[in-house]
Amino acid sequence: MTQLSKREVFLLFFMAVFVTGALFYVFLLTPLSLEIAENREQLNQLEFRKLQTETNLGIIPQLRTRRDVKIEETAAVLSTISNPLHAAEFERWLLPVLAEHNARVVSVSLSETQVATPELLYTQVSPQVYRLLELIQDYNNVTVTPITPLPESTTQMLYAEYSYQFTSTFENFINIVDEVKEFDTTYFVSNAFYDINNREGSITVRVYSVHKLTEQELLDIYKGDFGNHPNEVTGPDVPSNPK
Amino acid sequence: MKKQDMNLLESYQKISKIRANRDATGRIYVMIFVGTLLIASAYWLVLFIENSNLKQNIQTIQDYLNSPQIVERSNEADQLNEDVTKLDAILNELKSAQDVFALQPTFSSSAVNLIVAERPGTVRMNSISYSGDAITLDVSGTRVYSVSDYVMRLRRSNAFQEVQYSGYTLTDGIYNSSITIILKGGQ
Repeated sequence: MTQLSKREVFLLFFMAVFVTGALFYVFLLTPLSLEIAENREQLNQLEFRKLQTETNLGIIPQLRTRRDVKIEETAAVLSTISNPLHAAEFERWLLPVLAEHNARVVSVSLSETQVATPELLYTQVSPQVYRLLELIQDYNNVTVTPITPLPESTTQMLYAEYSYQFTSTFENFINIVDEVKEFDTTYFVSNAFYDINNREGSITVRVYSVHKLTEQELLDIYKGDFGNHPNEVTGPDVPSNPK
Repeated sequence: MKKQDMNLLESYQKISKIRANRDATGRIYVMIFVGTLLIASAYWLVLFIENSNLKQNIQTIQDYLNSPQIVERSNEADQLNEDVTKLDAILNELKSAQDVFALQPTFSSSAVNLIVAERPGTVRMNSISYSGDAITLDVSGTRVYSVSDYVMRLRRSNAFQEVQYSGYTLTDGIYNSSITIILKGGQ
């Protein structure tokens, strides 16, 4: 058997250490290190989730209160807007008013309910501005406040327009308009006309309505039948406001 | 003559010394190898223990997060958060509509009564119409200055945004005119 030289022995030793180390690194250390890194990441995520969960659980009472407050706020805002109503239901609001003020309805036009955004029936009259006026205002230290832009709504709502033509006195015409205002909901008189000579008046009411948070709130809309019989013609002689 | 000396002991000692040196080198190599192996194993063991601890911690947290009580309460919290977000969305959606409604001019007796109250005796109102934010008066005056008087009175009341007046025509001795009154917002 051939004797190995010192150099050969050293090389063999080096190779043995290197190969063993490489195998140890590749098959044992690397997979374990990767697994540790993954587990650390998972643990961090879980700890974060745990912290989030504990925080969420801790604020459950506050969240309950906050939700109740929000429900109240939302319901309060929604209550200022009319419930969705059919044209026939709208008549339960207006016919008693017309009857109360001895208006004789001549013709009525009731539109279909559609979806629309509220339109602001208001135009801002801009003051006329010219260079000399600006100089004078500057001399007098008059601060001109810029005109704030008018609000525009993107909120979609149910919308209908109901027009009534009737005969009545001017005083009653104004009282009818006032009563519509006093409904204190989203019924707006968009057009009105009164011919003093012929004692003829007309009003057009824009009705904006929305659904409510709970169905129970919608049940309040029905205001009872106006007449005593389904075929009975309703007119100015009907009793008090069924509202 | 060269001396032939066969000193076997000396030769044996030389050979033994060489062998001893070679064995010592081998032992050193083996020791280094075993030592390296031991250090690497110890390091692997440390990593293994650390990994086990991590797994144990993960399991503990997962058990906590998946416990029925926590899941139930967590779902409740999520639901509450979701409800609040949805209600906020409804409120935000309503806000722009509220702003519009708040500024909507209204045709009411307060404006009409003022218009009637400011009317001079020489002016007769034929009709009144309202559209959007404007009240239009169809009036007749018995004097040439009647309508302008009326317009000036309405302007002086400061109750309206604008009072527009564009002239008159004389028919059968009566000055017919039209006055447009622009209401202020939110009235």
